Amino acid sequence: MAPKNEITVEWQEDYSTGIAKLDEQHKTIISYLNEFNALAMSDDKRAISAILIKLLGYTLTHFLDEEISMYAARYTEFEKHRNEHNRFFFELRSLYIKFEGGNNSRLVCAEIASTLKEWFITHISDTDKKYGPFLASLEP
Amino acid sequence: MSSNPESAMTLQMPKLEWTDEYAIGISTFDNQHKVLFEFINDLRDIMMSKRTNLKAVDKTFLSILDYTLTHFLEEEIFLYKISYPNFNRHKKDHDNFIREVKDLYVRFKAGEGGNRIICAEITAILTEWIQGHIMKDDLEYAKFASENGVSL
Repeated sequence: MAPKNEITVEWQEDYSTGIAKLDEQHKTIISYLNEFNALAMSDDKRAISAILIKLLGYTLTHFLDEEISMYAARYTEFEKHRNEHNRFFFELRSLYIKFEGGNNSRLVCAEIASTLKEWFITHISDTDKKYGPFLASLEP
Repeated sequence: MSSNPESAMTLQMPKLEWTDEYAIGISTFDNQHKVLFEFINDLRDIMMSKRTNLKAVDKTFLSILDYTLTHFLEEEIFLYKISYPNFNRHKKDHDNFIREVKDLYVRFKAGEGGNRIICAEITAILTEWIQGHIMKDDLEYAKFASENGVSL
């Protein structure tokens, strides 16, 4: 468990989509996010790089799971939701490239921290909550 | 010989062999590109088997996504470091590839389309990628790198 600091994000019941599998994945993302935050201001580039790679891979897997559920359920907002995933994922890729390829990794880390917090929290607590009731109503 | 038109189609599909004409001259990336060829041949084998093995298709799909994600990042970091003038366009092409494969995987997992058809579609995307992207765009950055005396 990463040590807490002022940017630590805590899971709240209010974030629940009502779908256990997706909630669990959101909790994992939040724990990665906190792991990143705890390292962001350190000089351990290797560790920061490793957590970012983990975050990129896991985010893609999670987006796919969500999109498969939404697509199979013919969720009306599917395209809008998928496009939001893509935009974020491509941006996170850009930030990672800047972190690895540029020469001010500390500045990029601050940018990544705020992007992650802003995006995941808004997305999980707002956009994702919209598909919750729709998908839950279809669950056997 | 099967009378099934789909399997007849795959039987005509020759195994894809890597040759020097595909080389861009940066060995790390050439080796990674060779993996793309392997994926196409894996898909071909899956399509040629009597029954399309769902698990094999799934596994190959995820391997393609996983592999391209890492490979693209390595290329992009290199291009960013050498201030490649067409960096943005190149990265956007990679993003579009991820978008396409992702969409296809979602359709496959949601049970849409026959598995052979999905396999054929992903094979087409990869083949076009090798011909259009590696043979053109990757060659272009390799030329820029060599003209500017930078290497990986």
